[in-house]
Amino acid sequence: MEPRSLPTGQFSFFDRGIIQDVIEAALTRGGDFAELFVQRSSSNGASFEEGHIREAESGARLGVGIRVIKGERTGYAALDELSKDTLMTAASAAAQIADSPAGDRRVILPVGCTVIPTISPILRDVDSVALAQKTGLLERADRGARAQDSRVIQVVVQYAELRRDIMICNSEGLWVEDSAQIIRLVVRSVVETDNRRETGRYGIGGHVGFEIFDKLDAQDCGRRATRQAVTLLDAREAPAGPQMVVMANGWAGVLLHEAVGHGLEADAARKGSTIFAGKLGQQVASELCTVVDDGSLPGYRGSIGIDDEGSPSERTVLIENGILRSYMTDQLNARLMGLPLTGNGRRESYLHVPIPRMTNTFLEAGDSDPEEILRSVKKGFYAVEFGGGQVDTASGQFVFNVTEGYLIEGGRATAPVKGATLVGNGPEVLKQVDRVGSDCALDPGLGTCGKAGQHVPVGVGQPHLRIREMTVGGTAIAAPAVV
Amino acid sequence: MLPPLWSNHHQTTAKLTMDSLSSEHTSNISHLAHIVLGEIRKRDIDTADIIAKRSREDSVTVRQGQVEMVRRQISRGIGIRVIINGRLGFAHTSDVSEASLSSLVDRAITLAKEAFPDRGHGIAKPAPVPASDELDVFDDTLLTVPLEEKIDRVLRLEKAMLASDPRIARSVGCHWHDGDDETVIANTLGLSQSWRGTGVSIVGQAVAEGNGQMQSGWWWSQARHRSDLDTPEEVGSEAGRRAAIMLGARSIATVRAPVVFDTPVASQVLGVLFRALDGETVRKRSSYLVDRRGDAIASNLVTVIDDGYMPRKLGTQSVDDEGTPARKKTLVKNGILKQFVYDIRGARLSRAKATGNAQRSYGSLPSVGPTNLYVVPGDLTRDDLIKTVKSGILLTRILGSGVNLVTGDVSWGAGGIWIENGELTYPVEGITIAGNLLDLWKNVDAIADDLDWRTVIACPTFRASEMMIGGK
Repeated sequence: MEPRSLPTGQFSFFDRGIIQDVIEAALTRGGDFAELFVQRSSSNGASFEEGHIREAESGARLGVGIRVIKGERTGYAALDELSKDTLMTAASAAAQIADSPAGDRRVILPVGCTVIPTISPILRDVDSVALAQKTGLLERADRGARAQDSRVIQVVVQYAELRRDIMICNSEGLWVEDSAQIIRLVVRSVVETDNRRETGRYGIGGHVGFEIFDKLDAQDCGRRATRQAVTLLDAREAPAGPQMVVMANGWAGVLLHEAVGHGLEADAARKGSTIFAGKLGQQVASELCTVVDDGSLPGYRGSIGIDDEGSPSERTVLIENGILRSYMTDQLNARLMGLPLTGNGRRESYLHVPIPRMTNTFLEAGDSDPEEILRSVKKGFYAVEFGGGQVDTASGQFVFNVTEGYLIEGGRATAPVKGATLVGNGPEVLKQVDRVGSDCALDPGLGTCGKAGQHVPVGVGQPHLRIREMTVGGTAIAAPAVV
Repeated sequence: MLPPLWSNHHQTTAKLTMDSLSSEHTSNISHLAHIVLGEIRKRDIDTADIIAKRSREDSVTVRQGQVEMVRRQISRGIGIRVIINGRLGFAHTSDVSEASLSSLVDRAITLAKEAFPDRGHGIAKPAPVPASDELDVFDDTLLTVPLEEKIDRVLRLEKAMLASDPRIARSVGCHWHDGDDETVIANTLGLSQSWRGTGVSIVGQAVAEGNGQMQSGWWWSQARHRSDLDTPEEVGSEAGRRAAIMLGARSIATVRAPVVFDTPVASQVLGVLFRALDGETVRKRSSYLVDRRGDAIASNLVTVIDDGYMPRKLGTQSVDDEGTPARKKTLVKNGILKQFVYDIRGARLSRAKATGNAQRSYGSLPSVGPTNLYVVPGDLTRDDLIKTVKSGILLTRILGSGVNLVTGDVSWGAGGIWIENGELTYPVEGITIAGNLLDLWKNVDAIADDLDWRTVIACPTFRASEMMIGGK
C-alpha cells in the first residue's frame, strides 16, 4: 500500500488551520522545534475466572501532547481536552522552555496529512468478531488448562485488545497519521498436590487480528500454562553459582533486551550512564553475536510503522559480529549526538515525552544445530521460559528470572529446576557466548518494557545460545561446572 | 496572580502560565460524577458506582547545571461499574462531553449483559470517616511554587550530589515533581466522597567512576507537604554517596550468610509480603500464605500495620477507591498472621470485610494495594544492628522480579556492602539472593529503629539470620 494524503487525515482530529496556529503558538518564544502529538485509543478486555467471565471492560482515551525543543531543553504540556483555546494555552505553556523574545515564525504545513499504510496487516479485525466468539475463546483457554491435568485448582484467562490512532505534526512540515491494533491472550494456571502449589503461564499476542488464534488455539495456550506448572511440581531447588548456561530460543531474548538493549539507547549513551557509551566500532560481544532492532517486521508486539515522532521504523544493526555499530535514537538524541535516526523515538501515550526505546530486539541466527548445543554441555543449566528482567545500565549489571529451567547432565536436559535467577554483566556475558543456534525466534508477543515511568510493547528474540559461564541464583549449592 | 512557567525573561504580552492551563482545564469532576449518576438512574440501574479523577503533575529536570525539561500533565477521566443481576460491566473514558458520558453508561450496560453473575460484585455503603483536615494531605502552597524556585532546589540538589565525592563523574538528571489530584467516588447507595491531595518529590541520580568501573546511585525525598521534604543538600549527598560507595564492587563466592536489608530494599521485600496478604490471591490459592491465618509467618519481632488514617503520609486517604474507610489494621502481630486485605469483591467472596485497600485509576478495576504500610520499628540503631554481624551482607539493591508468590520462592539479583566483624568493608555486585519468603521473615532476628516514610511502604533496616547468596 502507498501512503495516502488526505486533507485532514483519516481521523479528522483537527483542521489544518488549527494545527498550524498551535504549532506557531508553540514557537513564539523562539523554540527550535515544535510538535503536536494526538492520540486516541480504545481498549476492550475481559477476564475469565473460576469458569466464567468475571468482568468485561471497555475504555477510551483521547489527548494531546505539545512539545517544544530549544537546544537541549524540552518543554512539554499534555492534556486531554481538545478545544482550540486549551490547545493554544498548552502550546504557549510548552513554548516557555525557550527564552528568546517573542518570535513570529511561520510554519508551512503540507496540504494534506499523510496516512501511513499499516505494516501489520489485520486479516480479521477484532471489531468484526462477535463478543460471543471472544468469550468462547476464553472458555476454551480455561478448558484447555483444566483438561491438561487433574491437579489444576485455578485458571485465570485474560484477553485484551487495544487500538491506538496517532497523529503527529511538527514545525518541520511533518504531518502524518498512523494506527495500530494489538491483541493479547494470557492464561495462568495453578496446580496443587499434597502441600505444594505451582503456577504456569502462557499466552500469545502481537499487532495482529483475531486470525492469531488460527495459528495457536486458545486451548493450546491453556494446556501450555498447565504443563509449565506441572513441570514445576517436580522441580528441585536451583543450584547457586557460576555455570555453563544454554538458553532456549524466543522469549530468552529478554537477556539481550536487558544485557545490551537498554545500554544501546542513545539517551543513556549521551548522558554517559551506560557502559556502552563511546564504544561505537569496538568489540563488545563475541563475534558470533549480531544484534538487531527491527520495528518494521510485520505483526510482532514491538512492530511499528513509524515511531511516535513520525520517523519510519527500520532494521538497525546494533552489534555486528560482536562490533558495536549503532545506538537506537530519537530525534533529540540523534541531533545532539550527530547520529542517524533509527525510528526508536517512542512514548507510552500523549502524556509522555518520546525517548529512545527498543522495538523488536533480537540476536540473529548462527549456524549451530540447537540440539547439538545441548549435547555439547556435560553439566550446566538450560533456561527455557522467563519472567522479567532488569538492568542497571551504568554498571551493566543485569538480572532475569527463569520460570522454567532444567539441569543439563551429560548433554541432556534432565531435572526441572525452579526459582532460578541469572545475573551478569552485559558486555561480559555476550563475550561468553560461544555457540549460536540456527533457530532464531521472537517471543509469543506479550512483552512490555518499562523505562522512565513509560511502558511500551516490545518484542524480543534469539536462537538457542550457549554461554560459557553465568551466575545462577538459587538456593542449592552447585557442583563446579565442567565443560 | 499565579506564577508563570518560565518567567526569567520580560514579555510585553500578557504572561501565559501553566496554571492558567490548569484552571481552564479543571472541570468540576463532582459535577461529572453526578451527571453520570443521573444517566444511570434514568436507565433503572440500581447498583453502580463511579470514580472520577483529576490530576495535575509538574516536573522539572536539570542535568549538569542546565534545565533539561519542564513538563506539565493534566488528566482526568471517569470510570463506571454497573452491576445488573450480579453481572458487572465496566467502562471508562477521558472524554467527558455529555454525549460521551451518556454512551459510557450504555457501554457498561452492554458489557454487564455479557458477563456471568458473580456474587462478589458489590458497592460500598456510606460510612463515617475522618475529616480531610485531620488527615492533612493537601498543601496549598504547592499550587504556587514559582518555577525558578523548583529549578533552584534541583540545582542545589545536583550541586551537593556532584560535590559529595570526588569520584562522582556526572549527573544523569535530577528532578522535581509536584502535583495535586482530586478523586470523587459516588454510588447508587448514596455514598459520595471526594478528597484532594498533593505530593512533592525531589530525586538525584549520579554516576561515579573509578577502579575501571561505572556505578550509579540515586536517592530521593517524597512527601505530601513541601515542608516535610528533606533538604536538596541531604538528598543530593546521599545520592552521590550511594553511587561512590559501589565503586570497586566485585562478586563473592557462593555462601550462606546473614543478610541485612537496607531500608529501600526492606520496603521492597515488605511490598512482596503485602501482595501475598491479598485475600483474593489467598482465596484463589495463589499465595504462599494460603491456610496460614493464625500461624506464625514471621519472627515474633515482626509486626506489620497498614493504616490509611495517618496524618500527612503518602498513602493517607479517608476512604479507598471504592469508598470503604481506609482505617488502621494490624496484618501481622508479633509474627502471627492476623488478617488478609480485601477490596469489596475479594471480601464478599471470602465472607470477610473489605479493609479499605481497593486502589484504582479511573480506567481500571480495583485491585488491592497498601495505604501506609509499615513494619513497627525495633529499638536497635542501624549501626548497632550492623555491628552484631560477624560475616554477612548489607543489601542495598535488588534487581529483577524473581518472586513466585504461589510458593514464596524468591531469587533476586543483588548488590550491597560486605560486612566483616561488624564493619562495612567492600562493595559487592553480580550476586543473587535466594530463599523462601516464609523462611526470610521467620529468620528476622533484629529490626532497627530507622523507620522512614519516603514511600507508602516503609520498613526499617532488618536482618535475616541466613540466606543463600549466589556468586562466583
